[in-house]
Amino acid sequence: MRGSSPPAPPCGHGATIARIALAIAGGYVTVSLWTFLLGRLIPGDRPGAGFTATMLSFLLYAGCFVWVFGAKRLGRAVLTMTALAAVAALGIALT
Amino acid sequence: MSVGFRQTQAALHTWSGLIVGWVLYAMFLAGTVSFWREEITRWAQPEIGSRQPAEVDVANAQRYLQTHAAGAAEWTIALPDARAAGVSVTFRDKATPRNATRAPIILDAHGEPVDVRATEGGDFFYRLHFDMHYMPILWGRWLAGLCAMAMLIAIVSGVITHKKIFADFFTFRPRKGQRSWLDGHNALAVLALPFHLMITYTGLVTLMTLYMPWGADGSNGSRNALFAEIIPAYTTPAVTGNATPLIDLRIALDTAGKIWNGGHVATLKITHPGDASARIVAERAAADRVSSNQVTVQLDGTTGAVIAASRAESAGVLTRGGMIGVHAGRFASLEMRWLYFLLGVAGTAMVATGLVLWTVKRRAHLPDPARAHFGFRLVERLNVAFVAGMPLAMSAFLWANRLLPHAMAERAAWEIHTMFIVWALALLHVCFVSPRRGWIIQFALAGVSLAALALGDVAFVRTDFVWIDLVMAALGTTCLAIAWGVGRHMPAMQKTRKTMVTTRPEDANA
Repeated sequence: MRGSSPPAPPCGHGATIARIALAIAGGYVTVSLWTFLLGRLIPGDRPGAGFTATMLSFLLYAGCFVWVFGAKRLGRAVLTMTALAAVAALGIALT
Repeated sequence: MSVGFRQTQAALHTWSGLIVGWVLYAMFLAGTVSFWREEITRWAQPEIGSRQPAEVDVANAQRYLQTHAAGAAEWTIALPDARAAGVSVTFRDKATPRNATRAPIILDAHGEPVDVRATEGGDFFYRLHFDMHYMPILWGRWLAGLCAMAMLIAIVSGVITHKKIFADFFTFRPRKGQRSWLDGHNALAVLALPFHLMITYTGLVTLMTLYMPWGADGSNGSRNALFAEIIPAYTTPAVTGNATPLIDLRIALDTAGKIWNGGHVATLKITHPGDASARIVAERAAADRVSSNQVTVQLDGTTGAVIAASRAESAGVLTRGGMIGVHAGRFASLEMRWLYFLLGVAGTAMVATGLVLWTVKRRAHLPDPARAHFGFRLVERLNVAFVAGMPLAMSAFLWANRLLPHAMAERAAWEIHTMFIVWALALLHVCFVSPRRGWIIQFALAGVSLAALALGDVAFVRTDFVWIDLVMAALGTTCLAIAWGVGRHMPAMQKTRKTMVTTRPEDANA
């Protein structure tokens, strides 16, 4: 971050908005799916499993922002996000 | 980490911080003073007087209820914790619906009802911290959650942005305009970083099943099903009609204390008092444990025998309860509470310096600082109205508590309206003056207001609770010092503005 210009992502405004949208909406959907799956899969008492999964979700969501904003190519981030969501959805369907 | 990556994180930090900065400031300030929630309530109701041992309170409550509500379906006795005073009782007739709210009756040391002024006291700041005001509670909570999430992202990206995070901490270059603000922001952020991270994350955990209900859906099918499993539900038998005297409730106090290894009772709920089917549920004081989860025990109301108790918490349930407990700090001793408060002040100041830094940094790049664009002026004005206007408005709430007539209708609501009216006036004020004058006048007013409040309280109202007045006077002095500092410092900053543009680009990091 040692730079002189005001902080601006490498691409224009459109790309920034796309990143924000991907992180907020795509991230929420993906994290929700994973939280549901983890709530179901974590062993032990049910309330404990639900709470543990939910407590993890905020860390995962914050991670989504760091990753989406730092990703070199937006297109690949969209694909990866979709794949992650699909894996969780598949997991929910199978369990 | 590459330079490019760190730069993207800097952008994320700046914008996630600015967009929610004002609400975060309000949440930090209201939350920080809420560590003194009980004390503020006690200050706001001087009629109640000194606190009594729990045995005296319980005996008074039982005597009062026996006289005035012998045939009630349910009694509730709420004991003050070590920081509050005055036992409060409520009762429900058989005809009254279960969820009807009634104003609690507060009893003094002799068991007589006290005619207390209507006020929300410290509870107001506590609720403001996550429910906001003048909006549906759910909206307020979602807004608080969005801001907390943005804060968590701002913290994570802020840490990534600061490659030399510990070197930054030991760097302070005073009276150097933007660099001072940057160093101050960094020092406040890094010094209390573990606290900021903890308080933001645990803040999200307090309302997590609202923001992210899917985990509970996955584990239990629904949120309601999950909470039904952890909140103890006791069976209460139907009224028998056989009049049987209720035990002396001090015995219930004693029994519960023994079960909890010397723990304290917060509330006693008695169903069907005076009937053979009477049951007592004692809830343990939140100050006893870190975890915020309810601990209760059910006793037979006619014999005092233990019938059932809340079950032990599983690891996951205890972790959530512990996080909420660490956030609210109800367990904290006085020393710990001061630490909470001072770290909260550091957090409030971190958000404030971050907001100011945004304008200071951009002013250097303006083509003509005298005629800045609308967005810049808006941010500048909102900064004054929030950072200086809110403490001023909060002091107005306390003034209203002292000055509004006792018998006024909707008195408690008008204390709150007073605060928001003054806050709106602060915003209006800064629209008509320069930000510099706004900073000076509003901080000076807040300082004078708080100091005068403390002096007036000691002189006219009470002298048995002086330390909270001392804290108020100290906060007022701090506000005055800030006003004085702005008055001295701002011209110097304007002089350095010309040289700012030519400083080395390495220094322009934020």
